[in-house]
Amino acid sequence: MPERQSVPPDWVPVERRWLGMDRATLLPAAIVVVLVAVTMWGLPALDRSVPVDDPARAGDVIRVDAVEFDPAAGWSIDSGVLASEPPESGGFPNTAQVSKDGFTFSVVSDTFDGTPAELMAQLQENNERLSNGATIDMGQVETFRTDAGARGVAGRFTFAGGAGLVAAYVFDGTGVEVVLTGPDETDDADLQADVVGMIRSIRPVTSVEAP
Amino acid sequence: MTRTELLDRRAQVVDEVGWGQRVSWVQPRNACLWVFVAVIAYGLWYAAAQVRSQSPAYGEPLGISALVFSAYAVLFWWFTTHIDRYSRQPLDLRVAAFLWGGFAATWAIALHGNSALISLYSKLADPSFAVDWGAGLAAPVVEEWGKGAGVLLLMFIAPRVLRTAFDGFVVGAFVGLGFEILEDILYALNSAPEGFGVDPVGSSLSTVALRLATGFTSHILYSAIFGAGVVYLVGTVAQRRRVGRGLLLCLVAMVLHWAWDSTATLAAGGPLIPVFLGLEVVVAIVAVLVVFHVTVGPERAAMRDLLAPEAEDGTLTAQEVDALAGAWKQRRAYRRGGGLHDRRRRRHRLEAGKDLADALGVSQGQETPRVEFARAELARFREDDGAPPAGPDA
Repeated sequence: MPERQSVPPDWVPVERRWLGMDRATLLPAAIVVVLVAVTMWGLPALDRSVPVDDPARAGDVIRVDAVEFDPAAGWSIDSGVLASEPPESGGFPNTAQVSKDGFTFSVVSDTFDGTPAELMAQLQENNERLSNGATIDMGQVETFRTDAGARGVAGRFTFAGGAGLVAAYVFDGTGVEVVLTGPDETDDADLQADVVGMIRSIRPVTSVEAP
Repeated sequence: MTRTELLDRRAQVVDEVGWGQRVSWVQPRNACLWVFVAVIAYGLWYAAAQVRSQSPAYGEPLGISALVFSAYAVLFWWFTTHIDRYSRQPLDLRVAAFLWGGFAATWAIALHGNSALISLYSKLADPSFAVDWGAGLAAPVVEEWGKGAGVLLLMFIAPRVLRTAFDGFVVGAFVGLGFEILEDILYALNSAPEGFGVDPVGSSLSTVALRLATGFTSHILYSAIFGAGVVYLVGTVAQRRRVGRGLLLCLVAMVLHWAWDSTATLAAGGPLIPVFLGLEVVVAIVAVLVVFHVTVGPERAAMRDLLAPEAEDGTLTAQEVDALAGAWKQRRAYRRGGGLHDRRRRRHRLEAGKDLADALGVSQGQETPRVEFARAELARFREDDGAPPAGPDA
């Protein structure tokens, strides 16, 4: 057998190939492919397969940063933290969502300097800025009062997937946006009462519980 | 050692550490290169889609934060290049590492993995647990391994270049830099709608300021430590496999990351948060300095071996070789050694000596016109007091 010459750089000898690829590179490539597959598809799929099993009970209070509300009993707490179970870090998330029978009720709290009507106008401006297809019927916005006597405004909005209800409140520099989406019509009086109750229950946190 | 032995040792060390070697980006039989390109391409596509969807609404904060963080990236690019002063990584390898960190590790790996893990913690434990520990138990695993995957792939894409643990340290730092910059821009973009979108630029700038202040002791630092750990774990021709040390470094990077992401919880949300942050910064800096000193040793020894024949024939003095193969203290001592009037000349000598080392690395230790020119440049800054240049025993 003739003597072998020196191997040029990047030449992969035939005995080191598998399906034309350099065998030495297959294992590290496979490790990274597995890592990417697990993080990109595996974990999200696992997350989707695990249902949320956290129904609200009578008397529960969900705290959304500086405000709180009473989720109707039986609604599923999709996200959000109960005021009775404060995180050790001391900060509550500024979003929460509960759902039932295809309806989702989401609450966002953040700083806002203005009136509820101005917050509603800002929300519509955001829709226009984002071009997300959502439109609040600003001509039909109505004023209401919460159980605690605070004033809020509410109106209907439409988006590509249907229609919903949006409500806005402002409590001393803290704005709150509530969005209800779900089936266009429902004759479930209990469900309607739940929604009204939750909308009217929103209030600022007056006594900060020790974490 | 005789001159022949010194030259043989030089040739051996140049080969061992991959000094002056280039990266080939045309390797159709390299599976790592295909994976590297595919995951970055996905990340770029995903990032472009995000920018396209967000820029109509938040184009201004996006542009401002991208501009600020680009300047920040230049600063840290310079710093990371500056510490890589021995067998320097080629520019294309540094760019590739940055791209993996910026587009593959962020958009393809971390974004999906972190969200899913935090949501799972919320469902399987409880929402308060996810608020307290979710980020700390998701990001250090997903992000560090995501960034470390880039170092692993580059080890097999550029096996003649990325050979020492210090190479892993530097390449890891560039992966971390890419991750840091793109993540910062994403955070700035995400904070634009805060406060119901009343002041998107102001909201973004608050985030920008926070990220600028904490940037160095986060991803760049963690990835540098983790990158060195990956090289120890895998092993190369210049660095024998040391699984225990590799795992330890990977663990250190993840623990530092965990502590950073869990600061508010560790401090129980109280007034001690700044104290904890300060402590974490100090511990992180100490850790990265220790890893730097552990990994840089072979690179410095290689520099000494590379330049030994130059000291033997009087091209460089022994003190200059010490400075070139040493730490900043040796370089400072050399620069100051001749008094104020000679400091500038000595600085030029060191720079020219580094150029000669680079030229010798590129030529694989062979005599070439470029090496000769580098020597001539050195000679321009010899002491001009009429005395012959100091020999190796000076």
